[in-house]
Amino acid sequence: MDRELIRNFAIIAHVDHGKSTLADRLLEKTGTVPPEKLVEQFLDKMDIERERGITIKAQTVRMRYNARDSRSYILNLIDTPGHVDFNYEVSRSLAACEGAILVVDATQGVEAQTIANTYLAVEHNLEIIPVINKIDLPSADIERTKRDIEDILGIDASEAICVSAKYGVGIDELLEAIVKRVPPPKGDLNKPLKALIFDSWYDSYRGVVTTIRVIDGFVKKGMKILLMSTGRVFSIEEVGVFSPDPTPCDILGPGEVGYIITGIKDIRDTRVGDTITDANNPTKEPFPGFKKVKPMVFAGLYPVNPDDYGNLREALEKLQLNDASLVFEPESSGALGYGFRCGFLGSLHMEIVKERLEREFDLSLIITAPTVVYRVVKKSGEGVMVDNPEKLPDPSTIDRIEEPYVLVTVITPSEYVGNLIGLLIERRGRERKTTYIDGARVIMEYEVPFAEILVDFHDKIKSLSKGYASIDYEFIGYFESDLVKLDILINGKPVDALSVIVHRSKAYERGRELVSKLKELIPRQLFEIAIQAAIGKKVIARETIKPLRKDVLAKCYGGDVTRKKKLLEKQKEGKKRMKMIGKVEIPQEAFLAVLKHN
Amino acid sequence: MKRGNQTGKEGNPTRIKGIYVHVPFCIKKCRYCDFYSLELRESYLVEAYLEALEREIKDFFEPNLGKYTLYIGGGTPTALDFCSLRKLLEIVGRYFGSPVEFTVEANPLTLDREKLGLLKDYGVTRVSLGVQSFSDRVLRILGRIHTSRDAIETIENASHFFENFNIDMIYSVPGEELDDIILSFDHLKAIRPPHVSAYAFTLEEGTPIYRDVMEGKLTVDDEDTFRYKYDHVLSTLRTLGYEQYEVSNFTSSRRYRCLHNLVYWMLRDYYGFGPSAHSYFGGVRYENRKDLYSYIKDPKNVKTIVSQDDSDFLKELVMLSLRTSCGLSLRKIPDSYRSAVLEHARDLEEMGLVNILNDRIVVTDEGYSVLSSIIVQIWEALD
Repeated sequence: MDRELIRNFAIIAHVDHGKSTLADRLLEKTGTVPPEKLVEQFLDKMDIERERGITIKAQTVRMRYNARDSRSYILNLIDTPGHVDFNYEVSRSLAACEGAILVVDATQGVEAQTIANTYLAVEHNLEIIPVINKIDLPSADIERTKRDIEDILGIDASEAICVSAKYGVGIDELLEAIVKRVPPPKGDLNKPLKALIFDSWYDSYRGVVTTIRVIDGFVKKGMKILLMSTGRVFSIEEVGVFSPDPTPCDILGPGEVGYIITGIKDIRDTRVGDTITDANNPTKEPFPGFKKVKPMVFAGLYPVNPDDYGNLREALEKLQLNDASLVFEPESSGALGYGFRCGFLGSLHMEIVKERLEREFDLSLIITAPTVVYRVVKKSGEGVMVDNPEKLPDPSTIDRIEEPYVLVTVITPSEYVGNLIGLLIERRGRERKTTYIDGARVIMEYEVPFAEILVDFHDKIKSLSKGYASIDYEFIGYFESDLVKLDILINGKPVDALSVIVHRSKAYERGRELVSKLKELIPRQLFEIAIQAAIGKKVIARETIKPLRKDVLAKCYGGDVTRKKKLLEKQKEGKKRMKMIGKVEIPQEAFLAVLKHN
Repeated sequence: MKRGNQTGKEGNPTRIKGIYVHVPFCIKKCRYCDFYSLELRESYLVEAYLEALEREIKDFFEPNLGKYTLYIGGGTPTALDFCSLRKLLEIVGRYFGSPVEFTVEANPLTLDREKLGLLKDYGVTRVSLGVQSFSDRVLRILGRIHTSRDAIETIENASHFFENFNIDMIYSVPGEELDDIILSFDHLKAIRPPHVSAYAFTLEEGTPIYRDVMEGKLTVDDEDTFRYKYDHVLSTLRTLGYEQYEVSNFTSSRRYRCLHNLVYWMLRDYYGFGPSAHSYFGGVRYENRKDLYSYIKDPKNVKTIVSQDDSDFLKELVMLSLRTSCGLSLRKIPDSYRSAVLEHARDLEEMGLVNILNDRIVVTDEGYSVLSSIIVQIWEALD
């Protein structure tokens, strides 16, 4: 394959700016997918992706385009995940490209994810082609969008291409621009093989399918390859390209994008970002930037019905086949029984996993409050990473606790700035920079503890700005915080599943809120129930549930014993669905109380 | 007969069996009642019922029954006119001529001196009067056909015919004020009947009063109001010297206890006749179909089995024994469950809800108000 005729590019955009629709048009225009076969959002294969309008898994497709210069080009579109939780995957996908189409909605202008994704593309030295989408809409403002692109992103918008992905307007110009402006890949066929893994998934018939971009050398069937991060060697069983269905070919050379199938059964053997080389003639230098993605958010997942524990394990194992970033290990809770501590890339990832488990595996689950990973430095100097409030060491042994911070970027119409500052401060945010764009809009940058944005943050931002503000965030590191573990005690017994780590300044409020919520949710029982919130031994909030005073079925008439028995049996069944903490019965809903706060 | 005769002692009422006859007629259906009864309109239905009843009893008759109590309930047995009532007593008396106790239920408005005399003549030893309240306001809410004046008059009459009679009372009725309950029990104080049944009101789905509550026309007592009334009922009866021998039953003297009810609570055999009547014998519970018309057609074939295994027996033993002041005897619990039952009982004892006396678990006053929860807790020891 002539490298000069290959173009590798990605599409980057803020959510809802039309990335997937634009990809559909490219597939259609190049004849890769016949129009009658084109389901909307062709590349988003999971139901969940189409429903939420987001891309979770990266997809790749090879298109053939006959350009105006009468030459036939190979265009490799590498679709990237659209959420910050999957930032590393985005960065690896971009590393496989030479160019990026930057899609901006002409009715919305540049938004928070536009900035984040553009910076990523710039970091990878990609040729960026600005595309202004949705020009068919009456509220489209092309001039303002161009100004946004130049002022906020610092990218020349004079040659931006105006399109309507919906109606196929401007797609020809875009295809020409890809050919003319995106540089062909570099690379040397004669050097030892060096290829980047940017995606992999498990196919139940074929084992692990790995998507790669060849940098130097070539891959072909039968070759022995070495995975450089693990040192493991595999033999290639098949090489191919997606056009768009997997189609075997003989060889993939420098600059080419395609897939390989080896005997690999475990997706964790083909880590995204890893470098593949020839086992017999390895390259000296792996492709830079590989890292093992680490889960950022942890939560306990428990089956509502304890008998489902085995099913939950199986379901998690199946999901993990396709999701190397999902980690889990068995965990047991005094309150919830047997379940799994699961690690996720972020709260969206967590929600998706829970939803898929419930939807695809028909499980009913309790999820405990998500927590970030804290860094605890003990007085002895020893450092401990804590992903579960229960594992926080004895406070007397702790020198300090550090928590992960993110830089939150919010772009909002200026009238909502006041509202949003209120929210950011309430979430312990510190202002870093506030920039007025054009008098009407503001970019706010705040350093916020990651823990504070896990629950209810995105929805709050949206509701406080009537849906206009957009956000994005990136990790900036660990900083010391005055954090305490807030325990909930029921009749003096701590309930592990209800413990949370909170900032000291918020502990009282949160404690009061939790105990009063639990008071509402726990039914009266035969004895008085004390619900306490405590930091260490110090009780900071308390509520009492008075004992039940009436529970009597008085009449036992005419020997009708059975009916009365049935009523009591119903009452007994109701008790069974509760979780026992000591002698206190706690309904499932109580455990969800910690997830939401006012 | 099977399980019934195994553990009783000489002269102990537990050896006694029970005969129950259900009369499925009322003058008018009460607004809270969901027992099986029809409003009495067609007299030929009564005729047909009585014929069917005789066939059912005849088919089932057992000459060597031993000692037994006889109880005619309903419905309202005294809703029948004088002749029909006499015919009913004749039929029953023909087969069950020598009961150790013979109770007939009555509504105050349907029991005149003539009927009282009739009952006495046919060997009835005890009448049970469905008074429910002495507040006319509450009687209207309940949809009773009588007034408190009717009740007082009938009680007066009945006391001339019967040494032993019972007054049924209901408390904590939706819409009932504290004054109502105080007034009601002040009347009871003045009358001092030999026996009182005082039931906490139970809201039954599908009844008119249930709809009133759902539509917000009447309010159900909250727990504290209920407890106030419960305490008032209990202390009034206590002060008068009544013994609470079962959660809802009070007697002024041991000799006035209702033996027939004891048959139920002690899991003795009993035979029920008439539509919707329940029976228990040979360890099996039966229910007669709740349909007068099919009963008339085929009274010999109306029983269906409702429960019969050992776990049912144990659960019932717990449920029924704990209602009584005798309590639950641990000796009756199989060895394999005994220590678990005792353990659960100790928890309840700590909360002051039961006392464990020798080998008996007896529910306290405090415990009676939450009896259902206590039963469920002991049941859990049987899992």
